[in-house]
Amino acid sequence: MVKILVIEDDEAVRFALMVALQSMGHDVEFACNGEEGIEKCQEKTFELVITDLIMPQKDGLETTADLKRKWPDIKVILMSGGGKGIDTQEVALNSGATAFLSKPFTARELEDCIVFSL
Amino acid sequence: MEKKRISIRLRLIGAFFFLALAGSFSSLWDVSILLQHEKRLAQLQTENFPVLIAAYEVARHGESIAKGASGVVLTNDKWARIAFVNRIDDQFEWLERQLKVLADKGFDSTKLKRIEKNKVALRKSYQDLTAAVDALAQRDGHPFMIGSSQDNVLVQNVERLLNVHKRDAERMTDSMAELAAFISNEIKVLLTDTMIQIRKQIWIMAVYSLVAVLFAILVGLYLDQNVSRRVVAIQRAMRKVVEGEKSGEIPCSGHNEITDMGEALGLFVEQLGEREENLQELVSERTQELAFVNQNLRTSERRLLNLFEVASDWFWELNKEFHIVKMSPHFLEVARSLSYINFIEDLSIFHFLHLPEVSVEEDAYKRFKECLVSRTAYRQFEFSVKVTDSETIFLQASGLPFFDEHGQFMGYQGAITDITEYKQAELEKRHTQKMLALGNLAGGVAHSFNNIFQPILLLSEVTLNEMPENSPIHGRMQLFLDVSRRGRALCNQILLYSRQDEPNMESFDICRLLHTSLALFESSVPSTIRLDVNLDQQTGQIIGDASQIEAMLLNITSNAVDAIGEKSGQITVCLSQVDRQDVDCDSSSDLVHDHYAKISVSDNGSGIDSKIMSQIFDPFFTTKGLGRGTGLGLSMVNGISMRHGGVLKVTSTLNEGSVFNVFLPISSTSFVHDLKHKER
Repeated sequence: MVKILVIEDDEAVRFALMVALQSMGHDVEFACNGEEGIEKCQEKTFELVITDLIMPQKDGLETTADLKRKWPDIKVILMSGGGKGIDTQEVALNSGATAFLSKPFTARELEDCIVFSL
Repeated sequence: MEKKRISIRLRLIGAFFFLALAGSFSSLWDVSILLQHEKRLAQLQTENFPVLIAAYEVARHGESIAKGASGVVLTNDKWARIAFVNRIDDQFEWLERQLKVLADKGFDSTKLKRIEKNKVALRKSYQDLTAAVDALAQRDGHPFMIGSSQDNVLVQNVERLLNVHKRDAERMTDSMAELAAFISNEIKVLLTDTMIQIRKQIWIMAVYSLVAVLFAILVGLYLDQNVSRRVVAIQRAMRKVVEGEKSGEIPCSGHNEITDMGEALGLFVEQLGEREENLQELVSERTQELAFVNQNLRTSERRLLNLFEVASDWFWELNKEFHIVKMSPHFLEVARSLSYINFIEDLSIFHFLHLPEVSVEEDAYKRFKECLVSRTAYRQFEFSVKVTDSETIFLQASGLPFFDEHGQFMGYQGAITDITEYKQAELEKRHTQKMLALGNLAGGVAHSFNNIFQPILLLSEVTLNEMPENSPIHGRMQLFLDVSRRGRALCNQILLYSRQDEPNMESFDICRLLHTSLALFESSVPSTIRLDVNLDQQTGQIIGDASQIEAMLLNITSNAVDAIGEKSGQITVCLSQVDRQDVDCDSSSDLVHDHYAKISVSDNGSGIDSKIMSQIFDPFFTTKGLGRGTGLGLSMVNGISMRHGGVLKVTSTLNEGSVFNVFLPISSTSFVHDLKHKER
């Protein structure tokens, strides 16, 4: 069981991730945006953060950078639905993320990525 | 030459003139002499000849009377005698009348007197004889007959009178002969005299003519010496002057009008020489100035002509009827290439703009026409000319009206700029902008769809995992999963297509890439399709995004499989290295590399209809059924090929198959080396 924080603005995606991660047996908490995610991290320790790339206000890259600055050991998986040209793994990894997931991904891919990140 | 002829003519004319003059004088003289002769001959005719003729008649009749009278008297036939007597009486009367005429005309009176005497004697003897014969006939009681009469006295009287009559008749005959001799002599004298006179005149005429000829020769010689030679001398001197000799000497001797003229001419020539020198100086000055001006003019003309010919802008001129009268050689070439224009030099601009190869926007044409009609300048008037089936040039014309010194409108002069490249760049830019916008839109849509597919995919997968396989809704959930996976694939394609950033360029062995890709592909090819692979391992390295090249290859080969469908068929993939000139390309000048890798994928499938050939690279264009094709594959292939500096060429025949040839530039070893060096 891994303590995971999911930062995602889309409610449906949030719900689907919750279902999928819980079915894998992970401890999952949620935040709707980057600011909220960082607040949650201050309240509680997470092993892994799965964050969306494109969000209103603070986006995934900034959030990742903040997280890594405050908690260097924390693992971050960036996920993106593509668009705006920021969909390459390289960009994601440069920001400090451990892995990159291209939406839509399957539960299997998600699990593989979590295993890979930890 | 002409002048010499004139001098010869002058001499000849002089001679002939005097010859004619002399001839005329001598002729006049001769004519007067001949007139005198003619007068005399006329006199002879009117005076002497009738007399002579009358005398001749008298002589003839006199003789006849003399002969006839005795015969008549002695004839036995009474009636014949009466007839003769009457006739002889008549003849005597006629003879008397003639003699009277002769006398009136002053004929020789002595001769006339003798004839008159003889006639009177003859007539008397005749009358006496006639009376005696009549008396004898009366006495005998029958007509007179010699030897038959009884009265000897009367017979003797008749015989005596007969003798007298015979004598008178002879006398008459003699006098008549004498008259005839006189007449012939007279005529002979007259004629001889006239002949002598005429002969004499002929001699006189000959002498006069000779004198006239000699005089004419003398006059000719005089004219030659004094006029012609001097004129010729002056003419020669003038010729020399004309030929450039400046001496004013005119070789003339003596003192007359011609030598005066010669001297005056000499003076004139001298002055002319002086003036010529002044003139030459002036002319040489002016010539130098002119040469300088000419040189400048020629230089500027050449410059202008060069500009005219080499200027990227073309020039044209319209006359006042708006006919094209002048144009730059380039434009003429272009214009001549049009099938309809063999008569470009006499073509109205409106006619030209209505040619089928020429297209003009309606508004632009209207504005242009308004400008021409109102004689105002037109600017940036655009039209296009279809030069060949595949080439259209875009032109932009500007022009100004020009007027003559009276303000009369003469036409238009203007320039044409070839804006084809600009137009094409504009079109390309527009296309790029369109594609960019489309890419952004597609990217945005794909992003949203990915977020939508995410929960569907995750939830359907998790749900399916948690659901027993015999559940009645297991199949439905599986369908959810499959459809969302298809959606994910579509979104990936759209994203790949819309990706505008530079591909991840690296150097790799194209042969190895194809080998790996085709190994994967082979497993998905149906067993009804045979895959032939012929890769040249020496093809070399190319620089590009391997994943994109792989995606491109898979797209083309998948299309080949789809084109063959469920039938049996064959797909051939070849790889080889070709030189630049062997690249199947519309304009090989666009190719910058020396060597290219040729990836050729051919199939014997359904082929592509030529009608849709131009659309196959358009995004979202597909012939595949709903849900089977995205319409982005070939568009993406084309985009990848272009981004790699390559060329994509498709040839296809409907129902026979298609060949896709992709040419990608092969990197030179030094370039690869540089790249590796940088990586370190």
